[in-house]
This record gives sequence, structure tokens and C-alpha cells, in this order.
Amino acid sequence: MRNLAAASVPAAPRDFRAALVGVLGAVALILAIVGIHVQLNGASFWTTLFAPNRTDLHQVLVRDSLLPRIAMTLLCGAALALAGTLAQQVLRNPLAEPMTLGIFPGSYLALMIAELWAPSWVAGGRTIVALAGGGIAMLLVFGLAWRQRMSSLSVILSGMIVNLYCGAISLAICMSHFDLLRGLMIWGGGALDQSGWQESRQLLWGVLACVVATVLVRRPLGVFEAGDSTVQSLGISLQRTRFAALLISVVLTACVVSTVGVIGFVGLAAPTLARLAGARRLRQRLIWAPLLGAALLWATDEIVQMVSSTELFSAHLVPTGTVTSLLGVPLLMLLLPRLRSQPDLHASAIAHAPEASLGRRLPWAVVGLVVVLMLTFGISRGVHGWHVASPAQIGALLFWRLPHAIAAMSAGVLLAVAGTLIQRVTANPMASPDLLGVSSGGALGIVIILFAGLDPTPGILFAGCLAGAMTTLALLLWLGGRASFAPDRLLLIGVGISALFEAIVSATLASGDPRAGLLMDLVVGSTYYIEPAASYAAAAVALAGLVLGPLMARWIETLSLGAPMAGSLGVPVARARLAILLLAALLTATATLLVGPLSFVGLIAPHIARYSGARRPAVQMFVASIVGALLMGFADWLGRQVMFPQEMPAGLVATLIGGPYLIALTLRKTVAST
Amino acid sequence: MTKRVIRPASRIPRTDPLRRRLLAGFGALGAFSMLDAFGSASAWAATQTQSTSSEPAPHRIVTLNWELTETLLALGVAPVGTPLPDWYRNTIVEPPLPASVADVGLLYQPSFEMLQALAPDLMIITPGHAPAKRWLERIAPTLTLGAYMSSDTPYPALLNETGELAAKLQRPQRATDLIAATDRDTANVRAQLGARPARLRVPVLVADLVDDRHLRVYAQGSLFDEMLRKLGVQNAANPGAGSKPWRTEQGFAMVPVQRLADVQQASLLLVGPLEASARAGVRKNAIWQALPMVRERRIAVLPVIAPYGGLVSMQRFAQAVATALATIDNGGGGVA
Repeated sequence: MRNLAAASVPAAPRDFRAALVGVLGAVALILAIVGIHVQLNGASFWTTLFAPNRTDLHQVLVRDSLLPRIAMTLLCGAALALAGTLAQQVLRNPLAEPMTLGIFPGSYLALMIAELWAPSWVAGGRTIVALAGGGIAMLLVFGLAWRQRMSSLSVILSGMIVNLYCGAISLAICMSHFDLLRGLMIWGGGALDQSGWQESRQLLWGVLACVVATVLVRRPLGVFEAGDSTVQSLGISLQRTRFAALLISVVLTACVVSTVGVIGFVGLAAPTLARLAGARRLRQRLIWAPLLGAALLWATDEIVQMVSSTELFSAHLVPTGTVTSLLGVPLLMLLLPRLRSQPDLHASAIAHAPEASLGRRLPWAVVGLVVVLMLTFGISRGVHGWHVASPAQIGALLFWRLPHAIAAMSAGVLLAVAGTLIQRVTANPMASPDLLGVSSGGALGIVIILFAGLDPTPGILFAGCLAGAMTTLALLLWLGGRASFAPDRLLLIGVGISALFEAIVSATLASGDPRAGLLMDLVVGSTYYIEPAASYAAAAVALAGLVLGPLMARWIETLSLGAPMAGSLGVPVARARLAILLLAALLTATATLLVGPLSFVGLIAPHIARYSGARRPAVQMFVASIVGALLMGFADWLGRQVMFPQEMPAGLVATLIGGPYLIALTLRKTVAST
Repeated sequence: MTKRVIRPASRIPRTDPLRRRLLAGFGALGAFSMLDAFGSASAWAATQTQSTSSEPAPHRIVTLNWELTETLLALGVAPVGTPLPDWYRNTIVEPPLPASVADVGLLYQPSFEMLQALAPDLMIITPGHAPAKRWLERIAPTLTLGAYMSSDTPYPALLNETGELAAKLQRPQRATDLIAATDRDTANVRAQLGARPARLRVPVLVADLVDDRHLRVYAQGSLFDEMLRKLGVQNAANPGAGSKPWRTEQGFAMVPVQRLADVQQASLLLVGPLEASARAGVRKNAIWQALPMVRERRIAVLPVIAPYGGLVSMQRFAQAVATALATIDNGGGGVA
């Protein structure tokens, strides 16, 4: 098998760059011509373009809506693809794309705040506010990563944190101002409707400036494929080059986002597709990825316009940005087996903490657990401010608080164990349970049931969630199995499925569909409607996870030496990875049912455990579960007090309090290690 | 916080409880369902029964929905608590909500601490609260109303529910009076418009301006559509108005501004408030400026009216339509 693969590489590296761009472009062009012809209603195209009759609405629609929309899609597609190519090149990570670096959530948050509390700022258009928000988010990411010399891992990790954090704050605002933000949600979905040439012209200048900048830095970028140490030994300033390339990438994204909102997946898919289609060298990719991105987005947009004019969808808006994901994900999956493994996902930039300190911290964890329980049942805000509850009051509300506390803490344990397993087995510290797509897959199953019009009885919904999670898992196993479950391959699949879910959620939010409120409930991770029986069952699963997880610790430890080494030590590599993933998926699916797919705890708890000195997998798992339970339990209580009487979901609060702690840890350890 | 107004309509119908059902399903696995008994062992007020006509009328009422709060107030009773009272003041407006009404938290996640402290004797909930009903009934008996908002014919359903609530409050005469007053108002406006056929010459489109290039149009299945029919005004989004019917989901169609090219003959009534950004945006929108209804100033802005509100909102809608059509007829329409 190995020999065959090696032999086929020099023989015939297939090259279908031109064919791919050509087919997509031709489809788009034909659809566009048909659309314009219908709309023109007999008027001459050239007259419409150069000397339109302003009173003929058909001509105005062609000139000021259809044509600028085409220009806009081409520009956006190319810009996002270029941004993605640059980011993937300098971070050497196929998962890196500008959208995951915090730009979009930053812009979105800024716009949300502006629309709610300073509407005069957005009266003149969203561009400036969105650009400012994206810029601040970007500065934050760079600021966090700068102290670690902009290492590829630190940039991605910082991006993830800023991403999750801004996203969580947006959700928190959204919860209580849902309907105010309907317009913003359309923008968030990436609607490309145009009403004049002004916006595409503005975007054109921004993109051109970035293209010029790219041409200037293209030479040093080429050597990045060799790895950090090689680049440095060649005498190129790693930090500065990486910074420059990322800056271009971020400015491109910010320009696009501020003009049309989020266009999912093009920045991730186009460079990958270009590489798979045969653009092996950076210079080729810098040309072909933007071409492919433009063609991809244009074709998608034309199809979207055609579909949304049909009877079935005419009550809803179909935002193009979300549809790109629907189209891009299967395409990426199809081509994934051809993707070559990217090195350097396992980076060495993780700070190592001394192991000795762990023992001294354990008593504190026990104290924390007691405090959280006391808070949960004893202290709360009421009509007359803070008070300690009397036994009668505790008894009266116990039916309500006990299942909540148990559910929140079980979810913390479940996610912490799943997160540790996944981070260890993929050797990727940015891996969180949702990155494997299992929770999104489960949620997707529920969404499909809802939209298929089936009666949402408990049994059917649970079956849907389970089927979604299992399908995701099967896909992971089928595609990942060919690569012996190589971590990067799995993460790509997971990111694809998560993107699919996010796309559907934002499409629903933007469309004005009445099921939007229901989806919001699912996304924010509230424990409000948890049944007592469910929380006890979840606690049982969490305990099972705590027993089964450490049993796999030996495998995990051996696997961390690398697959060949582990194999020679007698570990059945594929089977071990399969077992670990199965367990992680089961735990994640259970947690999804409790608190929705917002699983920041699964990312952060293992980190905190490691920074506290838990290095061995089994120990890390236990410490992480204590941290996870504490965090979620405290978050559940805090969520009920902070905006009393409005309740904030536990998953959201956990994200808000966990984020700064993770950042502080990262910064402190960096200072210590330099 | 700026003074801005919002309409909560889209989240009222069927916003239900997916997760709870999921969890119920999860619980149905049965692993530990025995323990459920532990949760209910602390029953505090589980013995509440449905009130019968011999009992005194409830007087400490909590409403978990703003539209139902409107109907309650219209029947002459003020609630002791409702979720986010400011939202009522911004979206429903009339009848005014007393300042003493307490905030009980989020619409679908009211705070149990707060509810318990208020000690209500009746809670008015919607079908969306069904998953929490069992827990809410530990605090006080509940009455489920508001299904009219997701009905295909919301107006007759609204009349029924108004009567049902009045019966529960033991003041049926108030409902009869309210319905009669609404009928009278509607008939007056219809007569007033009928006397000026010029104002009924073209159909109208009632919509929200969502942003500078999208509209939410009220079509078949919305209260506004049924009110237009009662007023003798043609809804351009409906069959029989000379254009193909607009497909809706629970009375709404979310459409880009370009869609207005299908109904060029119609006048446009925008339900208030108009966002400053949307207002500024449409002025720069080339398509908007080319629309016949914009060039011929056949646009008017209505005040804030809840699209799924009760009969008071519908009375205000009838008046607002009459005023708007008069404004357009006099050539004074526009969004500026």
C-alpha cells in the first residue's frame, strides 16, 4: 500500500486546475446570462449597461443589482481565497483560515454593540464599524501570539480564543435582544444582494492594495513550507514575515466581512482545492486559489439565486454565504483522501509546567467543589437583593436547582474527559470536542428532524441526535481510516461538519424562519429545560467516562511517541485510535444533549489541568474533570445571578469566565519560559 | 440605552423546547429515572388544582408573553409580573403597563426565584412554555393561551382566546365590550375609506424594513392581512390582488427589496419604527429609488404596532392604515 502510494506520486500528478475553474465558471456564466435575459425582458444589454432608462425597473435591476452582485461575488471569492492561501502558508495548518482568526466574530460583536447602543455609528453604513471590530480582534490575536514569537500554533490558539470569546459575548447580547438584530443576522448570513456599484468599487480598491502587498512579500513566503527552524536558519525574519502575511490576510477578510458579512468556507476550501487540483507550489496557489475561489462563489451565488426564486423558498431569504458551506463541505470531503499530511500540527510551543505542584492544589479543588455546592443551593439574588436562603426556600426550589447543578457539573466532566482524549490523541492543543464535529453532527441530526416536519417527540429527537453523531463518527472513521486516523485529516472533517452546522444555523437565523428561536435555544447551551432524569443519566455517563478514560491512558501515552514507534511497542494503532475516538464521541454527544454544542469547557479544562502540572494522561483527565465540573457548576450559579432575573446559560458563562483565565495562563507561562 | 423599539413576533409561535424534549428522550433511556422521585419529593405546591367557577377570580397574575399581557390589560387587569417589562412598553405600547409590574426574567426562562417571591395565583403561558409547565405549576396554576399566533386564521382565534381569558377572570362582559368596540372601530374605518374610493384604488403591502435591502412582508395568515380584508383594503401580497400569491411562513415573507418589482402598482406601508440605518440606507439604494412606489411617493410609515398583538393593537392598526392611506392620497408619502 505504502509502495503504491509512493510510486504514484512521480508518475502522474493529476492537474485539473483549469478544468475545475472552467466548469464552475461556465455553470455560473450560463445561469447569469439566463437570469439577466429573463430580467431584461427584451431590452438591450449594452443600452442597459451604459445608458439605462431609469424609469424601467427591469433595466435598473440588471444594472444596479444583478451585475454588481456578480462583481461582488468574484471579488469576495478571490479575496477570501487569497487570504486563506496566505494564512495556511505561514501557519502551515490546513485548518487556518482568516475566519477562524477572530475577524468575523470581532466585526460581528462591534456591529452588534453599535446597533444596540450607538445606532448613529452604523447609520452611515456598516463598513467602518465592522472594520474597526475586526481590527481590534486581530490586534488581540497578534498581541497574544507576539510574546510567543508569532509561532504558528500560538496564532491559531489565540485566534480560537478570541473567536470563541467574541462569539460568546455576541450570543449573550443576542439572547436578550434577539429581534432587534434581525437585520444584523441577514448580514451575518452573508447576503450578497447589491443595490448599486459603490460597495464593489470600494472593495476593489482594498483588494487591489492587498494584491500589491502580496506580490511584495511573495518571495520569503515560499520557504515557509520547510518549517520554522529551516526558515530561521535561512536568515529570514520569521516573525516579521509571518506578521506581514497575516496582516494582509486579515485586512482582506475584514474588507470582505465588512461589506457583505460572513462567507463561510471559501477561504478554507479554495486554497485546499487548488492544492488538490494540482497547484503544488505557492506561486501557483497564489494565482489559482483566488481564481477558484471567485468561480466557486460565483457559481454558488447563481445557483442560490435560481433556487431562491422558486416557489419553495420564496418566503425565506437564502444567504449565499451559508450556502457556500453546504457546497464546499462535500467537495472538500470528496477530495480529502488526496490531501497530503501537513507537518507541524504537533508543535512544540506548548509550555511545560513542573509536575510537583499538582499535589498541593488538590485540596483547593475539594474546597472549590464545596463552595460551588453551597453557592448553588444557599445564596442567591432575590427581589430584595442578595440573601442566604432559608431551609424552607431551599426545599421549595430544590426540584429545580438539584437537577441543574448535576447536569451542569456532569456536562463539565463529560467535556473535560472528551477534550483531554481528543487533544491527546490528535496531539493538537487547539482540538476541542466540537472540532471533531461530533456535537455539530448530533445537533445537525436534530435540525434535520425539525425541518423534515416530523413530530418532535422525545424519542424521535434523541434518535436524530444519535443518528447525527453516529453518522459523523462513521464518516470520520471511513475517511480517517484510510490514513490510520491521522489527526489532521480528522480535524479537517470535523471542521467541515461544524461549518455545515453553523451554516444551517445562521441560514435559519437570517431567513426569518420561526424555528430560529428554537435553534438559538439549542446553540446557547442553556440548562433551563433539563429533566431531572436526564441529568442523573448524564451523571452516570460521566462516571462511566471517568472509569473508561483512564483505562486508555497507556495507549495515549504510547501514541504520543508517534504512530510508528507506538506500533513497534505493540499498540494496535488504528484500533487504539478508534476506541479512543468512539469514547470521546459518546461523551461529547451526551454533553451536546445537556448544554448544546458550545463546548469551550472541553477546550479549556484540559489546558488548565496541564498548566497546573498534570502531565500524564490519566492524571490530566481527572484534574480536567474536576476543573470542568467546578467551572460549569460555578457558571450555572453565576448565570442565574449576574443579570438577575434574566438567566444566562451555563455554557456561555463558562466560556466568559474561562477565556481570560486561559489567556492569563498562556501569557504567564510564556513569560516564564522566555 | 437608546430609545428603540422592537417587535418580538417571530419568537412567539412554537418556540418550543427542543432541548427539553431531547432530554426527556434522553431520560427515557431510563438509566436513573427512579431518581426522579427525589426531585419531586420536595414538592411544595404540587396540589394545585384547576380553579372552578366557584373560586374567587385570580388577582395576582403573571403573564409570560407580551401580547397576552396586552389582552389582560385590555380586559382591565394588570399583571404583577411579566418578562422584561420594557419590551412590552417598546413593542406593544398600548394599553400602558403600570410601572409597578415586576420583571420575571427571560421570556422562555423566567426566574423561579422571582416567580416564587411574587406568589402569583395564576400564570398565563403560551404553548411554547409547555416543557416548563410542570415546573411552573409548582408555583401557581397555569392557563395556556396564545395559540392564535400560529393559527392559519389568527383573527377568529384571537377573539376566542380573548373570551377565554375574560371567562377565567370572571369578567366575560369586558371581552364582549372589547370585541364590540373593535368591530365598531373597524366598521368606521371601512366606511370612512369606502367614502373615498381613490384611497382604495391600489392594493397595499404592509411590511417591516429589516435593513436597507430586505423587507418582512405580512401576507396570508397574519393578523394584519385579516384586518386589511375587514377594512376593504387589498393586500398586494395576496392572491386576488392581481399578482401571484406570496408564499409565507406563519404570515410572513422575508424578501429582498428587488421583490417589490413584482408589485409595482402597490402602495407600501412600513410598520414602525424605522431604523436610522435602514432609513439612511434606502436613500442610497439605487433600486429603492427606482421603485414606482418610491418615485410616486406611495409610501407611509405606521406607528409601532405588534403584528401578533391583541384587539387593542388591531384597533390601532385600523386607525393607522386610514391615516397612512390619507397621507399617501394627499401626496405626502415617503420615508424621510
